[in-house]
Amino acid sequence: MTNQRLRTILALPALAALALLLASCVEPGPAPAPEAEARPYIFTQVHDTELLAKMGVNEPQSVKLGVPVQIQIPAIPTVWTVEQSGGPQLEIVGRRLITNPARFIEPCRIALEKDPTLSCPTSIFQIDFATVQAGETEVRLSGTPASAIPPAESYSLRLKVTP
Amino acid sequence: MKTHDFTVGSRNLRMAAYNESLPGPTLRMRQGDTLRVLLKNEMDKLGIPTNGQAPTGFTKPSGHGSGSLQDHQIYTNLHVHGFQVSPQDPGDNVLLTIQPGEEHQYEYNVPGEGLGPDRRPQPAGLHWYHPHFHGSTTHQGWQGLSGALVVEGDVDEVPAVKAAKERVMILNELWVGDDGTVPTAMTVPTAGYSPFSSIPAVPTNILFTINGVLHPKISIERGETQRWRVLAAGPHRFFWLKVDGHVLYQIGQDGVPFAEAKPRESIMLATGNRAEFIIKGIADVPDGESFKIRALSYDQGHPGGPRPEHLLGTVNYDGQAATEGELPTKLVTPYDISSRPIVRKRRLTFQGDISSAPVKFTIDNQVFCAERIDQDPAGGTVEEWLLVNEDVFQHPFHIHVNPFQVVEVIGAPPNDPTWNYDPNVWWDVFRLPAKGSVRIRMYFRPDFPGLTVYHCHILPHEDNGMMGTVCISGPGAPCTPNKNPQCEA
Repeated sequence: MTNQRLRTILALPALAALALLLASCVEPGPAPAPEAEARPYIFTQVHDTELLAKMGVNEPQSVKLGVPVQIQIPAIPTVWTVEQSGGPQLEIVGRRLITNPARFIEPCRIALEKDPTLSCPTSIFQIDFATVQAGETEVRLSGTPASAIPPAESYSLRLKVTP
Repeated sequence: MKTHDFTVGSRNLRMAAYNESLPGPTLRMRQGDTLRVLLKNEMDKLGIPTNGQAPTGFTKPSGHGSGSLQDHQIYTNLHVHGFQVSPQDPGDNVLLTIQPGEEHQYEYNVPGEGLGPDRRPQPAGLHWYHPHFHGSTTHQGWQGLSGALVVEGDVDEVPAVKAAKERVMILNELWVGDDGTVPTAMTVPTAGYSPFSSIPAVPTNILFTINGVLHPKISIERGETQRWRVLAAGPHRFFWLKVDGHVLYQIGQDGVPFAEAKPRESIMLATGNRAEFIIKGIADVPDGESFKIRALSYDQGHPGGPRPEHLLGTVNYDGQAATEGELPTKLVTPYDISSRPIVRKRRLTFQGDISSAPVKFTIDNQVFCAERIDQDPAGGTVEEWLLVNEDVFQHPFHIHVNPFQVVEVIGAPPNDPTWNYDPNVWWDVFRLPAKGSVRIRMYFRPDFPGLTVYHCHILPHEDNGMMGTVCISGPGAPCTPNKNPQCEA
């Protein structure tokens, strides 16, 4: 990527490009004790906007200002990049990679029969956010290579942070 | 069953409860008694996430007839877990639907002595009652809806057992939102401290109580013996129980007493398991000293790896026993089926898929259907079942009415000390190792024919399909024809 292209991305006002995940940057291991963290809203891959719409749910999820938000999504070899649009309602405060082997063998087998280019996830990527400002926002994750577990390569979480 | 407010630790909770008690009252009886229970469903809809989004999936009928999935969270019935009683009305029929505003009169004839060699008495020990309406057992289990059934009999007359101070201890797992209620919403498993989230999501925590109390202090005297009757009544968590500094002299498993006491450093309790043991106060411990009661960290196959260790309570020393307690050795003569021929062998396969919502768990590639008869043993016979687990979750297998013996475990995790099994021990819940299998033998007693169920006792798995029917044939129990073998609507 050229320096010119990188500066262009950073200059875009509507998008706040957040962190590019590298597996070596996060810590594996069991969950911390409850005293060490406030109880977050936890969203998984099934809270994806498109998947929820198929179940007839079209409104953004409302979360309270000041309460943390956490996304857990199957990962590795799929690597997820994170973006937020609509304003800085959320700030990333942590990332963690949790090993989760042999979890999706059968659904992966079915998906790979149709598309052998997909990848079967072996871990969970966890991103922790602080809610810092009221308003509506959308967190988007882009995955490469595409995952055999939906959403394959594009995840969207629409949130409304309320006071 | 009615909504009640409880304070657990620093949390104010609002839960449905039996007789306003968390957990429900202990019912005590003897072999040969008849137990009658009038169950009134007066539950309210609680825990509806109010975060600006309609609960997912709740507009779709769940297959139980009228009402949405949300309505069905407060439908109920009652199961007497561990009781060898009829599965037909007015006995232990778990296929009933008791809606809010309705009631049902149950009657259980607990088998006594003298019925003959084919009809054993109800084993004397700790059993329990809990809701069992398919689709809502988890939601009601998270509220601590459970209670002890203590059947007294032969083992209670063993002098060392009789002299020990009895404690009935119910371990509950309360999964609650910040408003103190259990979310009424579709749930999905998550890694981390709180093992589930909901759709829509609300912040949740999980509280581990003993008899409804967070971190109770349990007193003991130096030299005293106590008999702990412990029940793992949570919907999800396995309790690998350890009392620091103390050996646990186990005298019974799943309500069935042993031939002799077995010393243990720790005891694994999967969901639904019971263990009874003698614990003795240490001789030279000063007053005020305390020892932790812990649920050790253990990987039961839930996403994210081992579930974290929890402090459940403490044992606190206070004084010297007037009389030194004796540890039991010989107990009772267990029921023996070794001379009975095995008339049939079956194989069942357990699978799970948590990649999407709702999650799906199957036995032999099928989700539960009450109108389909999956197994049809004859009353009065012994069968051997091979239970094959193709999943990464450990699934605790449970079957109603008749307990079983474990004759082989294949694929237990290496270096995992929790896989004790003695072929002479009777169980009614036993874990299937991840990617492994278990071989069991069961005697289907002939006096309690009828349609009942077997299932994974991780209740979210049972509610999402991991249950099958077993029709025990005998007089008054027509198991043929199979009403709806394809389970078509």
